[in-house]
Amino acid sequence: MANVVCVRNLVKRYGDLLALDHFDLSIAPGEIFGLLGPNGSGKTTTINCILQLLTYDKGDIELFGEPMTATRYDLKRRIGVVPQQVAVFDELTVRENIDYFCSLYVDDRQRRSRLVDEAVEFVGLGDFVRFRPKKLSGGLLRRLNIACGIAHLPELIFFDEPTVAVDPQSRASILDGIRRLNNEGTTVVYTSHYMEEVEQLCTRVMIMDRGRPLATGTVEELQRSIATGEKIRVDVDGMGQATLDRVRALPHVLSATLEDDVLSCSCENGTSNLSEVLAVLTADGVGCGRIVCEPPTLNDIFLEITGRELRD
Amino acid sequence: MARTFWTTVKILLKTPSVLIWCIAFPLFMAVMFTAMLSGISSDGSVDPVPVAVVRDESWDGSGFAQVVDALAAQGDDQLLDAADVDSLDAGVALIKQGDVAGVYAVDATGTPQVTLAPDGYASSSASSLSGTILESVADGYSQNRALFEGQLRNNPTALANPSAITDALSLSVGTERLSATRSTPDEAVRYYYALLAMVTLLVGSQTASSSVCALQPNVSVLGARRSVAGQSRARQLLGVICGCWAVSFASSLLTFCLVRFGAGVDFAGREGLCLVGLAVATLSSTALGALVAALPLRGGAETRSSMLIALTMGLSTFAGLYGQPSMTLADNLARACPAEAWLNPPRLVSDLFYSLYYYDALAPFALRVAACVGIAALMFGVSTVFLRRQRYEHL
Ligand SMILES: Nc1ncnc2c1ncn2[C@@H]1O[C@H](COP(=O)(O)OP(=O)(O)O)[C@@H](O)[C@H]1O
Ligand SMILES: [Mg+2]
Repeated sequence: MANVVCVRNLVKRYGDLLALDHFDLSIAPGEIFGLLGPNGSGKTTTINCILQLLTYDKGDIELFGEPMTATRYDLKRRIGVVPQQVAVFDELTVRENIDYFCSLYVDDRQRRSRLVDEAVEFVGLGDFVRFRPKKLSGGLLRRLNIACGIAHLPELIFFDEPTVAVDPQSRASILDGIRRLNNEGTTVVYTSHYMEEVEQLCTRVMIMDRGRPLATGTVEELQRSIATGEKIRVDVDGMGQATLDRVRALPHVLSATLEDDVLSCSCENGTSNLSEVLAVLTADGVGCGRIVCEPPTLNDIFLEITGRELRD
Repeated sequence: MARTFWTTVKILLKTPSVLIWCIAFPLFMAVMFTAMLSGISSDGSVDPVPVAVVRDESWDGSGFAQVVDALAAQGDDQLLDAADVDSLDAGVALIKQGDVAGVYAVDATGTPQVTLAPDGYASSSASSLSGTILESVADGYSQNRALFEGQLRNNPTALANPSAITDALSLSVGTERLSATRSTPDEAVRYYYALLAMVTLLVGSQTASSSVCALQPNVSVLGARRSVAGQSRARQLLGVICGCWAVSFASSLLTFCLVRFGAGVDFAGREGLCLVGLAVATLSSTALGALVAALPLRGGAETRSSMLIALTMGLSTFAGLYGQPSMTLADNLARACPAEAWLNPPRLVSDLFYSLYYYDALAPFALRVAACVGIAALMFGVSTVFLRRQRYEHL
């Protein structure tokens, strides 16, 4: 089946600022596609261009295999959007808000009423249907924002940083909801600057920075694509510079740092990284506490490609 | 679209600023006007219209002279304030000094001649009305001259009473309002009409600007969200405009009822047509609000709302809302620039009601209704052009 989203050679400038630099993106049906990048990397700009909220300087955008334009309401009807900023009417109750946004897609009253009920249930706002948005906490407000974007059961949903400033409980419920939507066949585009979320949730990830895609693939593919294969952290006791230098000199160790009595090493893929590091420590008589071995995170991938932390 | 309509109505009725501007403020103004103007109304008399009469041979002994004398007799229902002059030129000089609103003369055949103050020379704010009264008396006399002369010959005392004369004059078109004018002073009525005009403009433009702002991606996040939705912007706009119009119409209807029944202001028994007037007036002010909201300006909904409040209050000055000086200014402006009466919405709308009150014929009213609809169409047209082009870009 054709790609649900296909972006080719997209260029977007804000005055002098090049926000998207020959950007390509394709998303297959059924994916939860993660757009991961630091603040200001162009995630929202990408989504807004796809949705034709923004004009762009160059590029082709296709949705469901058809060229997308500002007046393709037939395509828009198949899309749901959960914007980064909460956009609901303060004067309407939770239910009225969801019903209104749903009415922009679904004319039939009875069907809409059912859909609204489902959406309320879906985001867990059942106790708050008569509340005005001003009375909702940040997390509940975000859930309302989501309900307004998904009530019409679209085939493709864009979530733009839906978990910013949300309590852990709401966050878990939001991520869980997205998984359920996806299980029912919805394609999801999810942007975030939280790598943990993207790692947990997304079937495929694009890491982007400064308007350019840096790497695309499943989390495992991305992990394999970089030199770092394994990260080792050891709580050490009384370790000196000489020992650190000897660890750094190990053939498979790419880098090693010592901070607050924690030794962190990035190693290449290998079968005996841990035992080699521990051997050096033991030989120098350094006491070891907790030991953690883990695969590289998306942050490490970002770090290795750009030389910067994701959350600078 | 129906959903958008109802949602717009619901939102407007729950928006504090709309409630203040559309309900509380008109109520307050109507009550204040009633309190301020009740003095004028209860007093029950208009100032007599100052007129110069050229007292020559033709004048003396003409039937018209007797009619004018009767109308100029001192009393509660005195309509004219006649001052004798020797010649037409002397009368015109008085006009130029602003002492009189016109000059009456009678030609050799006994036919009344009226010379009115040319535009720009009137002393009183009601000068256009004064001129019309003078013309109506003369016209009425001319048209019924035979009748008057017969009566004067047969029973000279029959027309000593001014009301008998106005009754006789009221046979003619245009003078009927004259008697109405005499029972309710036009000054107060003009203020109330100006108030109605201001209220319709205020509510229409405020509701439309706030609602249309919430429809635009570059002004509000809600607008952005609605722009990516599955319903076309045109359909959403239509629903929103209808909702704004309905709320503004209801709100100005409320003010109208207060003015009509609370203050007891005379609408010449044409309340039904007044509703038509309110409907088109709110339509054009809704269009103005939509236009200002759609302009590609910096600044959000609040900026536009403040602009419109300032605009409404400012333009209302030229509709004579703020008392005598404002009324005079309005009249002077109307004379200096006749187009203003057609282009300035509060002026146009207050004239719309005034034309119902003042003229028997409906043509002047119909003309102003058409002007309102025309202005509305024009402004909606321009706003649609702006709205169509709008993207998120300029946020
Ligand atoms: N309307 C705008 N005008 C000018 N610059 C903008 C505008 N919107 C975003 N930008 C800039 O474009 C870049 C990308 O922004 P954005 O797409 O919002 O990033 P993200 O969503 O990844 O945080 C940023 O540098 C931002 O400052
Ligand atoms: Mg963003």
